[in-house]
Amino acid sequence: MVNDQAQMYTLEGFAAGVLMLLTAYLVLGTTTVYTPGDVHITDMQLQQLGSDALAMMDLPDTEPEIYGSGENILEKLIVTDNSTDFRTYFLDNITRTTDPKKTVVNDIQFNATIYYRMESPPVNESEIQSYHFCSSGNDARSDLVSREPAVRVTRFVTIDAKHYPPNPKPQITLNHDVDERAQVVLLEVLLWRG
Amino acid sequence: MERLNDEGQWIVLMGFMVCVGIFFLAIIIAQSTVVGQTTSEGVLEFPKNDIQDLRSEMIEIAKNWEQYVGDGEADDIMKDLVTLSMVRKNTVVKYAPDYSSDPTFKTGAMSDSYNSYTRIKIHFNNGVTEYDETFLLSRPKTP
Amino acid sequence: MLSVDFLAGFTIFILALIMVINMVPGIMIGLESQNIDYDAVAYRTGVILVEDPGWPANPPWELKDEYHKDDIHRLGLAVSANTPNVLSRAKINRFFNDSFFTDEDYGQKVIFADMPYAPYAYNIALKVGDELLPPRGDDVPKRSYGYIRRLVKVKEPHYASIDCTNLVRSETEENRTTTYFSVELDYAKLYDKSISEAYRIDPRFEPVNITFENFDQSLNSTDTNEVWLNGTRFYKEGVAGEIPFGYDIQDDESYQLILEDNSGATTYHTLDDHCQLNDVSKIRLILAPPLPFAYETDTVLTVKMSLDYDFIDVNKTKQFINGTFEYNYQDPDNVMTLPTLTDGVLEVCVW
Repeated sequence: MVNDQAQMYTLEGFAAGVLMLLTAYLVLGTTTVYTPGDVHITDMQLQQLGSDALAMMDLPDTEPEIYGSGENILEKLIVTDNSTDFRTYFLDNITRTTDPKKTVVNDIQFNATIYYRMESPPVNESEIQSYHFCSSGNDARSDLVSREPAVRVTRFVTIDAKHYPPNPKPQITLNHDVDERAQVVLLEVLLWRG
Repeated sequence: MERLNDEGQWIVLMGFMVCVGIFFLAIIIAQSTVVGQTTSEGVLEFPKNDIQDLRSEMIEIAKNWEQYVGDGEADDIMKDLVTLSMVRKNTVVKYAPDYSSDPTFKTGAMSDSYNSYTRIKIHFNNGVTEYDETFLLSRPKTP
Repeated sequence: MLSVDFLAGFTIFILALIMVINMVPGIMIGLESQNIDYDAVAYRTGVILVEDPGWPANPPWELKDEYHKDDIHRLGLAVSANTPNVLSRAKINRFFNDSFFTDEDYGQKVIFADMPYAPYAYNIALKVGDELLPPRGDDVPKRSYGYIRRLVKVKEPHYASIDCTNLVRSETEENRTTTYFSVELDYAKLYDKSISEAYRIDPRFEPVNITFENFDQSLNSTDTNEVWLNGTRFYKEGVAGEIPFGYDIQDDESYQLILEDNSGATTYHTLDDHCQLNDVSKIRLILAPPLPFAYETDTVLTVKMSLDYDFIDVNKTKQFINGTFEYNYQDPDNVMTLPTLTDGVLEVCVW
């Protein structure tokens, strides 16, 4: 039995086995590269949801020209610098569903910043300035550390402080360095899964 | 070992065939995921929401254009839009240069028996997607 | 001779093969390549429903009846292509109607499944305010599925509601008198293009709804013997006489005339009918789109209801009401409820 041609089949078996297992591991290893495709899909859902939410808040429920200043809730919240109500409205929008079992992701966190242009910025400073408007947590900075990849949704908002009679000045110009004129600001919201 | 050639090593051969099969399968799977990935990435990359936002904002501003001109705020508002697009979105949003006095809109340039039209030119380019639109905003003529 | 060597080698090979075969389905599960495709289909369906008015757009698909259903190519719910996320109530009613579209229609006209090779199962659900419309398609499965959520606003219909007790009463000496309720629709005012489609009153696509409320309370019961609704007619400014119309045909596709008494019981009538109004509290007239001459922007259409009062001489206060109302945005008579937008959410699941 044990001679010079012996164990040939055993060696073949080992070789074939190692070959197959190696290939399988190799294939497994390469295909995991493609799994980020999944992430993009959730991003896409999240981005669409965020954009929709901002667009719907920027659309008055009744014709503005007929009812005088038709209330644009987004403009009002920005001019009056009301971040509490913004959080309520925004969360209310993005969590609205026909069936609570259907969810994009269970817990959505956000962080909203407003960018605006100053007519005459301080020396050595950029024309475009920003301030933190609102976030889902209470502390703005705690949201910025160690978080999931976020998607960014934006909305231009035309704000005209004249629509919201100043007392004595519109809140937004009191709290921040924003010009008093009618202007376009950019509301940027970062959304991520909590 | 000289008998190797005669035996044909068919077990190793079978193993090799299985490996080829697995590779083939993996290539097919990899192809299908690439499709899915590009669909959702394509959706993410195409700035549909940005264009819709810009468009509705331009129309809104055009509706109140005369009031803004009267308040001397019209140019600033357009500059806000252009600068914010450039700085925050790396996007070129442009005035139509042929209307020098009233760069974006030309009020009452066109009209028929019922309406006068304001022409709004929208140009959007974020380096990947370019979008141009000429939009006619109409107002009923006051009798 | 079958050697031990061969047996050992073959066993090792088979064992390794079994291990590898066990790993292969694992690769596929981890990828969920099917799921990716479903998400894309759900996204596309969401965009078609929310941002597209469907095809044909003018006249819109929701005005097609059962016999012309094949003319409908795409089912979008948006009011117009210029107003993404603003949905039309009429389109929603048609879309979420149990008896109009079949599963196959939804598959071909919304989901755009490559029938019959790749039929998708789907679930389309819409909630407007707190009202959940009956979802289309199958129940959502427990396993994973393609999904998109869209936030929308729904354009609610406009209507005129006239409270008869607020109208001025006129007096007469005669024992019989004929008076009119007229409602004027000036299309040039309605087609005001500076008003966004999201808030526009469009006689081409949307029903006009006129209600006279509390009619019986407006009657002076001691002197009024009988009141009759003596026909309703349409007139066009600049054209003599009534316009040709099927006044004597009761047809939900063109109009509904509904009389409601105090108990809430309703009766349907043609525009030609003579109906006694003594106990009628509500007179409702719903004109289905498109209205007569809706495609001529300079038309002024007048809807005229004639009322016959029959008095008895008791207190000699023979009182009647009449009035002319404008159905438009400016609303000088303060009777209009203009289109308003209600928040809603649309969810599409595909698997």
